[in-house]
Amino acid sequence: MASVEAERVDNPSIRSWFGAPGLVVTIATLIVGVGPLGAVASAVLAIGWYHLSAVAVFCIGQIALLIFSPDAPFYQFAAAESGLWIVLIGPLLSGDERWQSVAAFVLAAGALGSIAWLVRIVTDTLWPTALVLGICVALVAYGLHRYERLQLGLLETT
Amino acid sequence: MQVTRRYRTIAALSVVLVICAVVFARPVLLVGAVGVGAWLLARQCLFIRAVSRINTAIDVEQVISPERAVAETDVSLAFSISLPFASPLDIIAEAHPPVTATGSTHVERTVHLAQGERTVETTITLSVPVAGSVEFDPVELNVSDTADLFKERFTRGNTPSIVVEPRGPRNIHVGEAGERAMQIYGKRPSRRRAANIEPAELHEYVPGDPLSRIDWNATARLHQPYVREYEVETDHETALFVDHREAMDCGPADETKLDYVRQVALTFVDNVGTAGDSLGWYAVGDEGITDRRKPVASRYEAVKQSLRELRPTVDPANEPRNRIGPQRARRVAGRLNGRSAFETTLAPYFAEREPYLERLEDDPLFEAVRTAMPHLRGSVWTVVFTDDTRRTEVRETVTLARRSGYVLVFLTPTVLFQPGGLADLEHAYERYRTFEEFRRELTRLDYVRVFEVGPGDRLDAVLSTERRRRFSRTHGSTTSS
Repeated sequence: MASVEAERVDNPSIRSWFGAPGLVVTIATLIVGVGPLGAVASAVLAIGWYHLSAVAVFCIGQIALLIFSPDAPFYQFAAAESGLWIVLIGPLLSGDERWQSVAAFVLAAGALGSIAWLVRIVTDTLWPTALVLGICVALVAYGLHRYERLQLGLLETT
Repeated sequence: MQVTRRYRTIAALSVVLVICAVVFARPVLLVGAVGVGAWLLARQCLFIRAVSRINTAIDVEQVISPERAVAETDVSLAFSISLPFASPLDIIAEAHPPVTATGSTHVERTVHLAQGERTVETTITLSVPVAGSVEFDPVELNVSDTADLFKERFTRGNTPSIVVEPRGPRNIHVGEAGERAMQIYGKRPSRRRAANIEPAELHEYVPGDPLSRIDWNATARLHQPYVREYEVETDHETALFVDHREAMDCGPADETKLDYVRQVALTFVDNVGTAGDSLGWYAVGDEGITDRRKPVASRYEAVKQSLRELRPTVDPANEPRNRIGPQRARRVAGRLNGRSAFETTLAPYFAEREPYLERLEDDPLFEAVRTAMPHLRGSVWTVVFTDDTRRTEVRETVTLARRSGYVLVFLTPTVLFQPGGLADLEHAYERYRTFEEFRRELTRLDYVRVFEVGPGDRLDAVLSTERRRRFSRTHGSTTSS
């Protein structure tokens, strides 16, 4: 069973070639907008994309944008961020139910983003926004977990 | 649903983004956290959807073969998993035999239905050493998604059961010529008058009492019908002779001739105990009596314990004892008229005939009965458990025993116990037929009854040969006419 799990994690579909265009866009933006440091960051992203998962590359890319182009123009930031989101969505497009996957992702991202934006506007501080965001994700995840156990008849009745 | 280490790692990354967003006051990092959170929730939705589809459509089946088995024999468990569509997830299925079942490893009990496949099956071999009814748990399914984020475990399928019988004689047949005997212990003819019948209590007649028991003298005296109960005093003794010589150690393990007669003898002792008769016990080995108990109307459990502990002895000579009967010996001797040199040479050996009984003193069973008879009093019921290996000895033993009373013999036909004895059913039937002739020869003696003891299924197989032959003979003649 261990060999099956290892094969699954190392499967290129986990990072998915669908995300490759996004990575290219991000790398190009970093090189053009940042310069040599951007190239270094791009190399890190490329290596990370080959050896790590798409989510890891997404997170590294966020950190890289923060470090190497904190004051970049909006269009550069938007391009790089879009590329990273394409990298993140890539694995969702590689399965059989790709459109359902993308729809679920868009729905979840839209809902979480809307909630975060509302809280940010109301409170005008970051930490309540972060807190509410975390609570929302945890609640939804737990709700889905309970629903799944109900479907399988694994809920204990009192 | 369980999350994996990878899920926790990704969740930790999103927490890092959130913390960095707050610490460095960078809202853009919250956008990243939103993306990661949405990605995890989307993956979870997809996993739940796939698991629900599998749960609804999966067909898990376990089949045990055979459903009745003897302890420590191999049984096969075939289990299969199938879906009407290509599996969206990887499924690891593991069968869970009962704890008492042995013979299979975890790897053998596990099958893998990979993503994209529809069916998988396997068969494993088990054995259950403990007798009883055991039930198999349903198959456990371990489902995991392709991104290695979530796992789920649940059980599906039927729960077959198997009845495991203890090793030992099964389907014990006790009967005559293939027909089961309905009653063995109970009413039997006695060569002696019944002993005193003592009147016991007198009680008023109640509906249901037999009219034959109404005491008319008491009824006339007391002006109401009264019934008299009687007690029968007997001087009846039962002597059990159980042959446990080497020849009785024939047959599969725990299903030898000795095992079969042991079961019948145990039941017989129970019946004797219920009747309250005196019971004597003699175990006969290759070198004579190995255990004995004088007849007493108690300690039946001690006799049963001795029966359970009985083991076959070893014949020191290990030579087949094939003796001819006295009648045949006399016929052969009568043909000698001294015309040839061969007959002249043999004549002196037939001139002086030592008593036949003295030659039989070398036979342990005969000797055991001969030495025990003088110590038995009253009406003796001799019960002999042996086989048909030494027919002359059995014949002479029965002849000797019937002088003292009724004789009951339980014979085990060797043909039903020899390994490979039923390989040729025609030949086996012929051997059984000679056994049946011998049994009938003994039963024709007065006050003697002989039963066959053996595995009923093997006897049915032997007798079915004859039945088929008679059927083909009948239908063949009908067709030709």
